[in-house]
Amino acid sequence: MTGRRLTLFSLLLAAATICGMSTTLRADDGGPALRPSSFDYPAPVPGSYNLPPIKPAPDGTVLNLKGREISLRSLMAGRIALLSFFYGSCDDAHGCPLAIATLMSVFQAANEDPQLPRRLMIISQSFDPGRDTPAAMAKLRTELLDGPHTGHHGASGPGGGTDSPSVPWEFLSARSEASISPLLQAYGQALTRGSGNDAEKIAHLLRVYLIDSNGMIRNIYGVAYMNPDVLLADIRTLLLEERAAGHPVN
Amino acid sequence: MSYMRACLIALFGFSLLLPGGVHADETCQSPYMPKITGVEEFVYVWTLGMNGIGDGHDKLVTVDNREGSPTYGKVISSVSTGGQHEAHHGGLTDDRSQFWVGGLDDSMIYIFDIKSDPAKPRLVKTIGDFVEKSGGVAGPHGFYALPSRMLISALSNKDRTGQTALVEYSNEGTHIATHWMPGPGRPYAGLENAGKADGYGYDARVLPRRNVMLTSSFTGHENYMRPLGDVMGDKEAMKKFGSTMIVWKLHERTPAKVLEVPGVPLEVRFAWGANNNYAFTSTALTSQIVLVHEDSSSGWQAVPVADIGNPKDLPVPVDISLSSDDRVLWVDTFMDGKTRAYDVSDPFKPKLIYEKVIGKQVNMVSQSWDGKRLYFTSSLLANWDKTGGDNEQFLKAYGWDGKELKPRFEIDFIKEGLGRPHLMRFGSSKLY
Repeated sequence: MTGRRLTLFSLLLAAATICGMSTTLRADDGGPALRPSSFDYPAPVPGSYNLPPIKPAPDGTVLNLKGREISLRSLMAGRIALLSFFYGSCDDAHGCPLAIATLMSVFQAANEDPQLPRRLMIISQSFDPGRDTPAAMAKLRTELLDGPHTGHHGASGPGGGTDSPSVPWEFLSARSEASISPLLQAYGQALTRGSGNDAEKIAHLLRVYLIDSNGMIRNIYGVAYMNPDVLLADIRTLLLEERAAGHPVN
Repeated sequence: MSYMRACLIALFGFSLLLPGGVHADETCQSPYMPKITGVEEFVYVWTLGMNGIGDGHDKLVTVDNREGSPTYGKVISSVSTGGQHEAHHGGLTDDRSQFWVGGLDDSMIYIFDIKSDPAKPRLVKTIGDFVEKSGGVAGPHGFYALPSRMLISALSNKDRTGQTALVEYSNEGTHIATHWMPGPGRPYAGLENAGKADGYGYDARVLPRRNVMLTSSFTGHENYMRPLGDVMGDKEAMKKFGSTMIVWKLHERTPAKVLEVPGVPLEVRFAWGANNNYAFTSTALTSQIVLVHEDSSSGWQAVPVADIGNPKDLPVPVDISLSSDDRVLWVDTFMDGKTRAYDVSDPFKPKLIYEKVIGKQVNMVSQSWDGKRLYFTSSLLANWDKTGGDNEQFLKAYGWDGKELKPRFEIDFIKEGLGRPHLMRFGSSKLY
């Protein structure tokens, strides 16, 4: 199962890398007439708009790759964070794999930015702890971040590049479904766990959260917003805001 | 899994577990929420209270649409909100767990849980400080789901005029931001055709792949709470109606262009087609279908494309509904109680293909995702509805075979002691 999941992600990442996100998102090739497909508009200019605070980012206890319990919020430690809830067995190409692929695009672009590796982090938090164990998450992380397609400069650990700093990307599990449930509820991450023949599936809304360095949620993205250029514009808008507020930008 | 099902799952980002494939709702919902592509089980009706009818209070009425059910076509739930608030519009949250409805008179907002038991909505939260939290906005009208938040398009302000705003709330019910409509005294840098901005608001809809939001314009509390005859006879009052639409940059929430659309443009319906960069609206006072489209050289434009009935007769177009294949546009006209179907395959040349009198008066229309079922309600505003024998208050359900509307069931909201039915939304237990 784990191997299949990793292969799925690899294929998707390769597709996203080769074809670009617009192609990945297209849904007009003979299917029903659908509205949000590709993103055919320029990303907004960072700092030309506001991102009003939505609510404090909830905290909860999760498991890191070593199986140790940690506080989700403490992990962010004053950084801007992109937080995505997902599960590794998701077979909806426009669900979790899309979120991962979008985050990968952000990750690649951010690693080319002189400021972002020190100010941004990415968190992929599984809501399927039964299958997405810390060991499975570690394997997934290796597959995703240690390939030549990532632009990652030798990832032996979060931000642990050997050549130049890299954006930390944490993959997290949880002790149990019961332990992760309050966190999901607090964020508003809707999901329904399957039963019977669909027991392995988890129905869920795709959501990615942008959290500022003060721990406030500043934007929430769904499928129609899975545009890495827009996410980057929002991140840079927060950076400009920090600078204007006198926050030391490394 | 069918290709359709796969694509809809992909589009709306909600992987459903159901073998039957229930995704959709009517075709005019936010693109951010899952849709019911099968048969809707329930119709939720936000209903105005009427003095002497039942408890007289505004209420959320639930109608059973499950064929074969012993209560098919009947009211199976009614939840009173205690008072008359000028119930009008409402909307579902992006996860379809809640139904938000508003009162145009006192700006109350009621949030119903429709997930725990879709057959029996439960009032779980009341927002009573909308005016205060929003910075003076009043008359919460449209409720449109954005990811984890609700976009509320309002009609008025604390001074009861029509200068108003878009207001964002989190799904938890906390105020996030207020975006005032551009108008006199409210300039926005870089706004094209800014001199024509009138500050009125009504509907708000989005086209995410073009980063576009489109708003329309109506009038303020000082007009919509007056008897219609009084307003029509007051020349100064008649000057206080909207004649613009605003094209916004969606992500930035900044207005980009003012479109001149005389005659009070109301409902906005974007096309669904992946390459269809256009929306329809109808104008209440000039009785026209207006196409708002993106021109490759001139940007977004508004152009009248058809008259609705005889504009000189003031049929007063109200709600419209565009089919999911962008081919049929339904238009209700309040005064003659008619609905009209237009073939809008060529959006620049709508063709009238069908018309039917639904009742003495008709206002809202909602259709299923497959376009095979349509629902009509009768009430416009408490003080604008017809009186005496013409004041029919109903929900009527029809089947549509592409040629004719065939009755399925109807409910007399006065005989049932309910009131004036207005906005409808669909529900299904199979969504959860």
